[in-house]
Amino acid sequence: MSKYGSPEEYARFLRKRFLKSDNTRVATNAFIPSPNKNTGRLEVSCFEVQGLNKSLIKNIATTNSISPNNKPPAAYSVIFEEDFPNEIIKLEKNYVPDRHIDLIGWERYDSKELQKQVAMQLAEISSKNINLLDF
Amino acid sequence: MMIDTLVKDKALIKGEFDEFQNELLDSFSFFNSELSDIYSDNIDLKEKILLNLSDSNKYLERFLKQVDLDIFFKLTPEVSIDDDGEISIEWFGKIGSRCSLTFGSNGMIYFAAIDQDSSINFKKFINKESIFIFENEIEKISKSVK
Repeated sequence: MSKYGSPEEYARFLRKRFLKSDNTRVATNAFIPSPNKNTGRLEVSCFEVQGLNKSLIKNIATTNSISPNNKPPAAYSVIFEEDFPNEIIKLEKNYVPDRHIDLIGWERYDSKELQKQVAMQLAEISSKNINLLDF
Repeated sequence: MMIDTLVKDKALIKGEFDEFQNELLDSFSFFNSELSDIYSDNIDLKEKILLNLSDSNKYLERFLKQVDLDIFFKLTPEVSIDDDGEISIEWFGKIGSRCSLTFGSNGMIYFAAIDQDSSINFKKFINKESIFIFENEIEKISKSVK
């Protein structure tokens, strides 16, 4: 249950190189997890965005360090709660910073190649809801 | 160089091959620039990732010599570089279907595909006897976009 209301919507901010097919598809590697710098746990960082318009979602990108190179994202894609394949990975709602969540449980898959299957599924689902950002 | 060697008898796909090669080079350049930003204080890690990229590209070139290029270019292949430097190529069909090849820096080539019913097909292969799995998937996806 989210403190931001339901149904939940999860936005993944995307660097330009993760947009494909004339910005109509999300590259699979946009959802390949990265190790947390402190704990080493594999995570994919997202934000809950239900109830927010595009402008407010853009604010999340500007007020948080979204990209590893601190450049603004080119877009975000959204996965709706009902489409989330939660039998595969789990959501950790830490809300630090505000509305931030992590997709966790990737260690269950013991190789990048197996993780890639899940990432592909997430990328394909989120390709239905790509929103370009103009910074 | 590679283009001349591979497509000398395949004039019909030369345009696609040129475009693919250009996209690959652009991706290298963009990725390299991003790495410089991210790892400005960790040169060792940056060098390791660039080595992965170089090795991955070597195996991609080897693959291109074995695969049927007419099938490879049946749909537009799109280049992605993973954060660890390994090259992935993806082919997109109708929304809900795609397939990808990842060229591991260790020489392994990984195939994954998803169909519109969300079923996932995954194979790991390292020799040319298994290429038909990939070729069949490209055929299938390309039919879905017609």
